[in-house]
Amino acid sequence: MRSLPSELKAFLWAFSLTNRRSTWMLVGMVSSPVWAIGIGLTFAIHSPSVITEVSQVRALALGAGYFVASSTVLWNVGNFLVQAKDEGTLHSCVLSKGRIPVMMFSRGIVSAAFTGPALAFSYAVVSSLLGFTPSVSNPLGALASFFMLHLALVALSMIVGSIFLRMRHAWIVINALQFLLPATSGMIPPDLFPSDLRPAIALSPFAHVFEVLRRAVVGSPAIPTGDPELTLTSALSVAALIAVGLLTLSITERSLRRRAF
Amino acid sequence: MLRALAVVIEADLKTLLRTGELPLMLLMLGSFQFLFFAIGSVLRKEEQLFFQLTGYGDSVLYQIAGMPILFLSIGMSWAIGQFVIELGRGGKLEQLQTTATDFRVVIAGRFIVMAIMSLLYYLAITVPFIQIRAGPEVLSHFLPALLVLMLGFVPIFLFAVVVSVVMLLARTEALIDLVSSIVYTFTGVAYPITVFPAVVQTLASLLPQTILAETVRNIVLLGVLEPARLIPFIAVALGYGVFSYLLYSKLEYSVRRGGRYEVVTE
Repeated sequence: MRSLPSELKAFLWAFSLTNRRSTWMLVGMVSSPVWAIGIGLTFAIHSPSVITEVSQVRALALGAGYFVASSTVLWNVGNFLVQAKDEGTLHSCVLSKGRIPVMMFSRGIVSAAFTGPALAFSYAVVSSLLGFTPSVSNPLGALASFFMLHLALVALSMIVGSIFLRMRHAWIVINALQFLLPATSGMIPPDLFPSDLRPAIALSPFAHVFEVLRRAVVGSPAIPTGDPELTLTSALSVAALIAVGLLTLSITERSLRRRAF
Repeated sequence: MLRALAVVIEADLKTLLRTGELPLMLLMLGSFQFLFFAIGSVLRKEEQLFFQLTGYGDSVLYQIAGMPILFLSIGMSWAIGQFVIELGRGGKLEQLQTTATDFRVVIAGRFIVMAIMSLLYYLAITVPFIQIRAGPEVLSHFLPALLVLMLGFVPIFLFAVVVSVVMLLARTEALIDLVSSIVYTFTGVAYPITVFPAVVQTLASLLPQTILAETVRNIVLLGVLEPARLIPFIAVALGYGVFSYLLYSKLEYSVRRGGRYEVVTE
């Protein structure tokens, strides 16, 4: 069995190459902002005044970018085990004692090279199209919080990836989840929801992680929690999600070795 | 030719039933429709402003009446695209093109099956949602809406054929993602295209989905069928017909004259 750093390096290298050559990624760079415009306006149009106020437009544009990022990670990482099983490469990985958690985590890390620019590009295009400058309140904070959000999405993909492996038609669930997850955790500005539903949205760990990014980009809060508490709950959420993700994949790996496919 | 068409339709229907794809597609499209319906219903509304923008009073109904056009169009583009790609991968495209079989009959058969399924979807999923939101008074609007929808399948299908052939010529399956995003964003199915600059509005009016969505919405929600609306509709259908035929001829030429058509897609 290879050492952990060596295996990580090998997976990172392999996925960087395949992603770089992927026409889906290339086309995705153009289609992401287009999807973002569509998704953002679909929800904003119920309250058309949203698209005339600067901080609302920025929140909406960032939310649309969040949709693009979560959809990409779910398809690229969450669906990867199913894809590898269908293509027969999962067998090779398991037989050669490759670590599935390392493989999935590497895939998640590499996908940041796409989700980061796609989110930023979507934010810029949606804001500009609606007539506002796509400024960022705290660029360094935005960068750090993007990585935190990305890690949370990768961790979720590791958890659901194991479940998808046991499903016959995982694509239906991914399709629904890519809308449900961001829609219930900040993609739609919370003040568009009725006041009795807003506390429910604030319960989602993803809402906390996304809120950190929103404050860094837009500058105004949408969830009534202080900055230190928010940072703490977000960091704990991400750590817990990663731990559960790695654990789930280890169990899946053991089960695959014992009972085959 | 009719016999060949019947064979294709029978084979396609059997495949749909055997693979269980039909209920899965209905489930997925139904859950999308429910998702947009549920989220739209709970969000804060500014009906007055929305009316000024669109001429319709209910933004949720506006979206439910328009969304099926989007789903059916994206579904059709995916299905036709996948169909042509699978033919290429299996080497059947060359087989079809180099024998006396007319590929257009195969495609026409597939269109008829998809049109039947689309109508089924509209009746089983969209109609109940509109009924729940708008009440029984819109019931009488559905028959003319279905007739226009059936007419609208022609340009939407031709659009899907254009996309598939371009995908084959460009040799990339990923193009479908870009097309889907454009259809979603710039056809006014979920919001009015008047929110965009004039240039975008002009380009959007060249897409058949834009005209179909607005025409069907007018009938379903307001009970208004303006014959004048059908003129741009037919013009766009003819345009796509000519364009898809020219593209198809180019593809056929490359297969018949250039030998094996290597489909490189990902």
